[in-house]
Amino acid sequence: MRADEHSGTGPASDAGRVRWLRLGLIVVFLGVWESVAQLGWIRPIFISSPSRIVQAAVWLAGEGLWRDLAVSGLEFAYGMTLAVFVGLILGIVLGWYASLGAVVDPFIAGLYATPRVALIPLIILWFGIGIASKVAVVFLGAVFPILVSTMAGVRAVDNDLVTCARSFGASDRQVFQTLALPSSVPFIIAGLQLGVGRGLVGVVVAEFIAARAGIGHMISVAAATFQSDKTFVGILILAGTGVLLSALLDRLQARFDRWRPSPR
Amino acid sequence: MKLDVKDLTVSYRMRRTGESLLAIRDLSFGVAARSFVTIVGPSGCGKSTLLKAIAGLIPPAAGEIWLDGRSLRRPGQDRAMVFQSPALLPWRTVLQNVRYGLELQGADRRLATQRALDHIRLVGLAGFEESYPTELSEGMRQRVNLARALATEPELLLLDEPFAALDSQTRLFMQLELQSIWARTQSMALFVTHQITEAILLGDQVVVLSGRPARVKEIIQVALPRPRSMDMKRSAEFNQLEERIWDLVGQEVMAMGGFAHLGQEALGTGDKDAGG
Repeated sequence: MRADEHSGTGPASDAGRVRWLRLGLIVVFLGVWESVAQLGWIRPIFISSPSRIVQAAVWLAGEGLWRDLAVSGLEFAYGMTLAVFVGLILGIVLGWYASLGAVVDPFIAGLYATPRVALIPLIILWFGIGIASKVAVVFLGAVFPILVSTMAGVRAVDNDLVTCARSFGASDRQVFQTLALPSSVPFIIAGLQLGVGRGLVGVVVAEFIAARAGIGHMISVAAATFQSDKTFVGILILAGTGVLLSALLDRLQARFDRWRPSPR
Repeated sequence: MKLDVKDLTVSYRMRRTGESLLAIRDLSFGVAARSFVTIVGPSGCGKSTLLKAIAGLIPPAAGEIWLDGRSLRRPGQDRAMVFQSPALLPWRTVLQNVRYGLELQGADRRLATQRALDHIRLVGLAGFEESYPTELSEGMRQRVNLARALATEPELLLLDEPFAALDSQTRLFMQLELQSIWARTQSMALFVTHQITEAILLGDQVVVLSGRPARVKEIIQVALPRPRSMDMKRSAEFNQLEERIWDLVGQEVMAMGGFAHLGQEALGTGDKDAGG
């Protein structure tokens, strides 16, 4: 019991300790990686090393990394923006008009279940190897999770709340604005989280298959020519982007979740 | 009579089976201005359905409901309902929840806030205006539910077993509290309950309904002086009333085939299915 009481008194110090341990883990990981490469246990051509990656990044920064970043970033941004618009609007419409939703449900479920990667060759055939095909791939990857979650969210309105609103004479519009929309926010954000992940995968895979520029293109060219340092730079950029976007969405979620009791 | 229910018949289609169910048949009763009427009856007899029909949430198949000479068909600002589940918007604070009914009725924002604050104080929740429902106890949430209805200052307050989910101490306290809050309003109240003592303690009249399809079996006058107190529950008069009402309800339960039907209650009241 005493131990429990003790750990219960210090959530702040716990959080501090966790932060130091996390930092420590990263340092240890990088240290081991660097040593393994430096000591020649595994040849750097396979695993590179933190110092080589930094050097490669600096070198790449002067050699067209920005162009690759801009191309991939643009593809992702266009595709995601389109996916968010279409996913939210369609999701809301299909969630709200339940019978319409029921009609198109099998269609959406089918598309959602199809691995979008399988469509990439076809999309490249249609849109060419430039930006347009990547935008289409990102869009297709991201739109379904967003659409399906939004739809589920709008449908998940608490019936008791609707009855209550109706008893005060609420119109359909008021039920939608005051109940359906706010209660679907967590679903929408979860859909965005999924969609962002799918979108990132889409950019990279599409660029692997056919592209003239972009981070995915850079990764595949570098790996094919045994430049693992450059490959890792690309991978780290992608990982960082994923983490960053996910953290931003968590923030957004927290903003809308102020009313939820804290889990502790 | 200020509220007049005339030959009301309500049926609804069960969503799952598609079967049409007669919940209320040729039910008539009246409520005088400023009086508090409680409704009891065997489980599943259609008490909640009656309340929903008066609220305008379920259209009657036949008959009329008159309030102050107006025929009621749809929800309106003259009525407000207090639900069995608090039915609060979890993402809204207490103040925003209490304001919700007024907002839906298109009230001016400042007026709505002022009235909400007044009624939060009335139900004893001053200081909790900025709390979220998840931070409140069940009893406090029910007060918010009550305040939301009262804030619209309805002529007729409809209460659908509002204290059913509370523990017995809180329940007793809320009963007495409701009595004193209601005494300060000009409203009529229709209060559906399963608990016969609650019906007697709160009501000027107790309407005893028959088994389904519900009609009025008998209306019992409760002549106990107001304000009512806990002690009255031990008076001879109270006990006689309680016995009389138990008898009436018991007869109906037997007529419905004893307690065996209670297993069907979830099916029978069909409240969840009634909306469509």
